[in-house]
Amino acid sequence: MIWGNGMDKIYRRLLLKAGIIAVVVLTSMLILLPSAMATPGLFAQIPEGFEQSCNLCHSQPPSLNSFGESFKGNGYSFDGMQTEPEPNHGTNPGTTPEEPTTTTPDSQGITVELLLPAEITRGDKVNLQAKVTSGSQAVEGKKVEFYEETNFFISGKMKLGQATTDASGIASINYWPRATEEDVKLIAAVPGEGGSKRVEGVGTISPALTGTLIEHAEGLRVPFVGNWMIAVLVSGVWLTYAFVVVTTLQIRKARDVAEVEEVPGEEEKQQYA
Amino acid sequence: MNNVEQRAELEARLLAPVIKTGKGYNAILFLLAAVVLWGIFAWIQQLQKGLIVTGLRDQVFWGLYISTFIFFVSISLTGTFLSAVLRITGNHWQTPVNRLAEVITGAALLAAGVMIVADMGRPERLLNVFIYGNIQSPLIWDVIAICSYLTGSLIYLYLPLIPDIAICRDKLGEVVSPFRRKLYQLLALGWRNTPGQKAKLEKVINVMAVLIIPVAVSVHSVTAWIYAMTMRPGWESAILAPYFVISAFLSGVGMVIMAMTIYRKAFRLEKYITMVQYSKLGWLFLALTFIYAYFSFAEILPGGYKLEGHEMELLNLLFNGQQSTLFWSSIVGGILIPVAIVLWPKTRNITGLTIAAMFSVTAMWIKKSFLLVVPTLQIPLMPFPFGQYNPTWQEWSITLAAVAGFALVIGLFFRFFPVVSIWEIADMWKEPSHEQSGAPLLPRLDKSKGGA
Repeated sequence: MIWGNGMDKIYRRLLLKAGIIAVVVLTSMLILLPSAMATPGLFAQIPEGFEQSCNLCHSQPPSLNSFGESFKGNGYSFDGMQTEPEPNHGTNPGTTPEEPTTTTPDSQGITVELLLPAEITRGDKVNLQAKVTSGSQAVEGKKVEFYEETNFFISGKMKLGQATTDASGIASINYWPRATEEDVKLIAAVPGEGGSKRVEGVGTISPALTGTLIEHAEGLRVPFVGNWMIAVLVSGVWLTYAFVVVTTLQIRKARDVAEVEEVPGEEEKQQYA
Repeated sequence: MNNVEQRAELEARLLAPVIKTGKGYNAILFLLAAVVLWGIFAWIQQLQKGLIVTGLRDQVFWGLYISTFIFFVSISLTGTFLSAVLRITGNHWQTPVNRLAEVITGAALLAAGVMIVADMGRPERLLNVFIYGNIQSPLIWDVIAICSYLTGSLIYLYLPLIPDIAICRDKLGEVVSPFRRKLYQLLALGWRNTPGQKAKLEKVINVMAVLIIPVAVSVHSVTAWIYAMTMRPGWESAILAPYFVISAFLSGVGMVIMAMTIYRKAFRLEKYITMVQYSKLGWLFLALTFIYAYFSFAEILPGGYKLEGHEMELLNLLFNGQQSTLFWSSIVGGILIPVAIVLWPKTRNITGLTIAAMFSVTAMWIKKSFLLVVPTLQIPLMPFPFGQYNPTWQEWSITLAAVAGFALVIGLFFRFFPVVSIWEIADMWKEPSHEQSGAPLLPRLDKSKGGA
């Protein structure tokens, strides 16, 4: 016999107990973990006026967002904290597309300029560019993230993409503006690293609306392939079922010629009783 | 002991639980029924107040219900699939546990359907799925595949049951209630073990054994495609369908091993469910665990190597984020512990294998059900904050009720029908060396005397 023949009782009991404990622990984790988000002690201290959510401090637990970092830097105290963390940029809401936006430099002197084309049509491809400089020097190899500020049920930043700056400090992505608002706010951001803060460049575009935003696409076309194949396959399965059921029901008719007649007697029935 | 005495003992042992079960067995059935009733109470609350009583929201819109649906679909694979494969290849070692496995399949598919209804805010519109369903949607493919598999599995469960139902009809007589007598009379289809009847039954069993294999694989592939057809991190993967099939096979084997141990003990079937079944299923369980481990690695590696966008967020969430404890528990509990238990000679026994199966099935629910659904939906694709999901007591109650209902269906089924196929076991005894001497390609019923 391939399998073992047994083990002593003590060992078996230990194994059984370990199994039960493990299942209980796993089950408990299932129940408890989803609510075990932010540090409970700190979560309970969130004062009124602040968002009563793990997202106040965490972008993705246990990672901290900028507010979480500030809170940590403030010695885990809400005293003097603001509900909206201030991004480190010099936003100019009136910026026109023709003018590049400017930012205040971070501690390392890095600034981000969002370069926007003069004319933009809604639905057409736009090459979004951001220039990263340190003083007057272009910075190569910096990751730049591009966002569109949207108001879809709630307000927030929708990530459009990211690119790395080239030798001239330019990072660019292709973007198709589809928002229906007249003015669309765009953001180019260099994430903070090594203790430096995130730096942002902001601009607003007013894309012209021409044509339609909806494109009708048929999808992949393969000759002879279509829904009829599903119909044939499914029909084949169900017709076979029907054949099986009909054949099975004919079993009743096929009993006429009995090969073996084993009619149990009363004694045998009593035996099972 | 001659053949007649052996047969009489076999029938006496296997028909005894059909006549009367122990108090403990009945108490467990009552307990399961109570859990089901509690779940129905919770479901009524959900119907009255809507899905707002659940932890499901716009962002994480699938939770415990859909996770458990996937789990039930998974464990439904092995019963019918393994039975069919072994039947058409002429292997009979699994005969004593075939019925148990096939009933698990049927009960699991019914419970999967319950989870879908529970997840629907307006279950009275269920019929609309069939009336207005869009054939281009993988959801509709899944509805078609599951309905086909459930129907096929129930037919495949019923066919080999006919001779045993005839045995119940003929041998139990007045011992059972009039209702049961009528039930056996009806379901036995007038079985008298005639050559014509045997030829027909043999024919349809063979047809179903061949047909049910691709249908079973299609169910698990289509269920995977519900996710794989979307552009979401963790779901958009070409290997999801075969990964589903393997993990379904593994969790199904685990569930069969657990059920074997329970019924072997409860109905004192040590003579019929022997080390042979544990040995073969144990090695199969080990091999499947290795394949599952390979797929788990292959699923993660490409995303982990590229570390782009949402895929990176998902891996962070699983590896060291909110879901990391569950994730690593599922890896340890689903791969390392079962492999260690099965490979270590001291734990390589029925108790060890059953514990390994418990670990595996639990981990499979965590990894291939809960962690497949929830973390992916937590990743915001729109400018939303990070998604949260906290199941409510209504969700836990309804989910536990479905699990209890699954066990209850199996328990009640074996109050009415023998847990082991009497006529097939009798056949095996007549051909003790059939596996070595060249077994027939398909099962032979001509040697059977069942139900005569």
